[in-house]
Amino acid sequence: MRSHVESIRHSCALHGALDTVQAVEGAVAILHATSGCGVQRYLAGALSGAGGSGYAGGLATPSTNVGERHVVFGGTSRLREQLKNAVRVMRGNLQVVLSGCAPELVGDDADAMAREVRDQGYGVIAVAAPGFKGIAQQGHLLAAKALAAHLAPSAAAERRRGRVNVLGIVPGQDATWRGDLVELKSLLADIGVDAGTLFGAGEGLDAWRELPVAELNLSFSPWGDELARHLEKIHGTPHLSFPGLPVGPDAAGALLRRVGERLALDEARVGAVRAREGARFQRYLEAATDAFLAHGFQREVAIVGPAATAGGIARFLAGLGLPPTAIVVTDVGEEIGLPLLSEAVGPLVPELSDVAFFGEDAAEIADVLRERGPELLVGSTLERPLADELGVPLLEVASPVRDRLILGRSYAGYRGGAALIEDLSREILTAALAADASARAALGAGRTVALPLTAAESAAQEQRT
Amino acid sequence: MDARELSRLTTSPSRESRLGAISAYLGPARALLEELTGAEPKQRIRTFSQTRPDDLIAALRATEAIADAVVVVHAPRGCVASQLTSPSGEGGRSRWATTDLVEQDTIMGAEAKLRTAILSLYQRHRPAVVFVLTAATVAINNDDVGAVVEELRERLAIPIVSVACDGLRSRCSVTGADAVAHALARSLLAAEARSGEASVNLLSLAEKAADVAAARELLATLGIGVNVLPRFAAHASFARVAGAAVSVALDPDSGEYLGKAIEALHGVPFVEPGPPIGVEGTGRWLEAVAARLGEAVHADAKALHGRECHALRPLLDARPLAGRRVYVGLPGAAAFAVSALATELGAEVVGLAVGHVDVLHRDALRQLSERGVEVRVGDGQPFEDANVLVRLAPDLYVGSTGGAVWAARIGVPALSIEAQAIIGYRGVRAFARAAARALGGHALFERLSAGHPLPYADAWLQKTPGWYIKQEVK
Repeated sequence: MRSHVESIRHSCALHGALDTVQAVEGAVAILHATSGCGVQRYLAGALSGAGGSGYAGGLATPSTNVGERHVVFGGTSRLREQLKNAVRVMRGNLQVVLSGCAPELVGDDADAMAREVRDQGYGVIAVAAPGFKGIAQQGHLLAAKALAAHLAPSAAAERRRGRVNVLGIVPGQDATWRGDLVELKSLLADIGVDAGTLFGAGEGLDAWRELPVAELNLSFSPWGDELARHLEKIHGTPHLSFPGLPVGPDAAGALLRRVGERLALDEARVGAVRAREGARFQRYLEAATDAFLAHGFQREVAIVGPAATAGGIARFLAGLGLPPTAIVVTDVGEEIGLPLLSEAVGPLVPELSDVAFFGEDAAEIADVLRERGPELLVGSTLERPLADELGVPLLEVASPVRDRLILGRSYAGYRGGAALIEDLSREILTAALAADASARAALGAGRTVALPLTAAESAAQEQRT
Repeated sequence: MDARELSRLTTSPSRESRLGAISAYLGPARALLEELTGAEPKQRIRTFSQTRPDDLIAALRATEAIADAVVVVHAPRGCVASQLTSPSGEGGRSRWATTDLVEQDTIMGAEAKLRTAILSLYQRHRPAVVFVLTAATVAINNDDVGAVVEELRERLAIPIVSVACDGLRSRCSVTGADAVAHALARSLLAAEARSGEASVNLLSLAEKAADVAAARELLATLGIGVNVLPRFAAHASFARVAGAAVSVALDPDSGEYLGKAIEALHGVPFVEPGPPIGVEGTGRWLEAVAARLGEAVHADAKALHGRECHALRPLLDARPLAGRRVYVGLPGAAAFAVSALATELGAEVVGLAVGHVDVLHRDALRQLSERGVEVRVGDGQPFEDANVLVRLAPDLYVGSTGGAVWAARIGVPALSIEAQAIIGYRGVRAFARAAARALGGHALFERLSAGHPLPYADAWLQKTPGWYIKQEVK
């Protein structure tokens, strides 16, 4: 086992569970933890895509703030008191207790306390989600399984034709999670499929209650795969697994085709949507071609992120003739990550094992990237120092993102592909403008933008050219 | 504080035991002042609470910006989440890593992991100093961090500084700043006095770079050289402290322990004038520093204050916040200083939420109590603020982002002091402009309050705001 991680990018299981619960409308997370746990999460992501204070998050996150005496004498009575009061203070239909490291180590029975209040007619459940259980995505699974167990404990009597659930896009961890869920829902709606996305605006407890009526679960990450297998066990719902986020026309087309076949949808309708969206993307691409050529878009690119993000983006960029010189997967190991990447990029990246790396340690990632010397970086803000060192553009797409807010931005689907091109173009063109300006400055012509050239300068310039 | 005590105690006492800190109270400033003047202040607790910063967060803040340092957080990975958007080692920041304790480590112990982590980080980055911070998990599993640190300190021949945080022993996050100061005093500050160094130790354990830069610039106009530490420092800065004529903090709460420790160890006097915020606050701060630097500097400081007051006179005379009822929510001394600044600009401070209050705040409290203001004590707890704000309906909320966001959602024009440097004379103008922008931009706050309901039940908003603050039963 490795001794440490430099610059983690995925926080702990407690924080992943917290993000997950707070992304469900009508649910309120209550931390049974030391006081700093909630604030650490807030400071980690409030200013980027993770999404600020939200409905009852940030500093408003209820927390028992256990202290010394609760570690010595146990913290269950403190939790009972907090819960009794929380149901009176907080507005929510389901209060979810998430217990952290200290109460779990001393053996507090959070579940018993939740049951006690539940027996009084309040919606309260408890999930053991101590940070030491692993990375945030592990916490996402712990919380999602607990929500499913409470809200949809068994198979439905009847399934609803055309209903699916979208699994594996992890709130708070996947930087574009909100927009990606909206985009996937809308894309699927175009072919007549009603997708429950479980998280984000309009997706509340009812979406969870309806989990078992789906005909099919769709998974877009290894984390979704695990959740899908779990739901297959408790609801008997089969699943389709996709190799990461479907970025761009090829992956989006494959999604529509596979879902269409599996649910035996009208082929003509699915085909029409694919043709329409595909043609629109093609027009965008044509419009981008001049800039592609003028600024040398086709570069050796290195991608750093969770398997689903890295795989989806690598596939899209390789399909535009930007083969990856490195794909660094930060959330899962080679055993799970390599087959996913392989399915994602297929023959577009023939020597995949030469470019795929698995790990989260910032220093090791920097070593890999330095050795590969990419001309373009797609990753998180943690790649910023290296991008500066190498003098290459960086597009922040994976958490932590620091250089912009991400609200409804999505890289999923046909539109997501175009959005990724737009965002990459901003980084590439900004760098190109800066390079041009410094070249002009070096030539002593830096002020020509604002001032007309003197006759002597014009002559000199003519001579140079 | 004396040198013997610093070397005897393995870590600093909690703020509660050392300065009688209170972190739960809601009521008149006068009654609070009386409690702080008595023998032992009453400790209260909250029977419903929201998250709040702990000692580890303060310690991370104090150690995150030392150019040639490595910070190892011996804890599960979430304990270092506040650093997530700060790449390790980026432009003047400390390099940071976590031992990423998992379930097995919490049961079987993880001293070996810590040892390997320090060794391998040392080999890779060759830091001048290593900080080891701990959290609740290690307080419970009893890893002998001291033994590992002791062993490697000898082996690597660099200072390895162990900072004991546990998130448990204190309800005041500033206890973590004290723990860092204590560890620094024991391991790093035992340097020989050298003359010809910077004349002022400018202590920063919590401030953003823009505030420290503003203070440094203010002193530079008087020709005063500063040694900033521990934030924005390098290891060498610590060895220079003994050569200074005076130490001063930007934030007297988080800087106090370090200032007194430097005084105890090296005889450099620590002055405590309150933060350099507001016209009077800045003048007082400059005066306290300059008075220790000789007649000429002292006279220059007085002249500078006179010139700046003159230049600010039109703004102050215009009383841009006249008739505005302002609510301030900030940690410790900053809350009182920003209240004073708002008052200088003509505002009426109608309420104050302060992270903690201890004996260091008596004078500031006295001034408030004369004006009959109610004080809410406790970091965070926006549910209490919501209750108070709905009743008071102030014109403006001034605080940190995490609190201001909730005022904004209620529809109260809000400004975060994180958005601009409010230090010094320039800070007065910056604050006045920011307040005007928030007041003029009320459309945003109206829009916000018209949206999603608050996460609180109506029944709570009708209860008295101090309902869940109770006397602690021991």
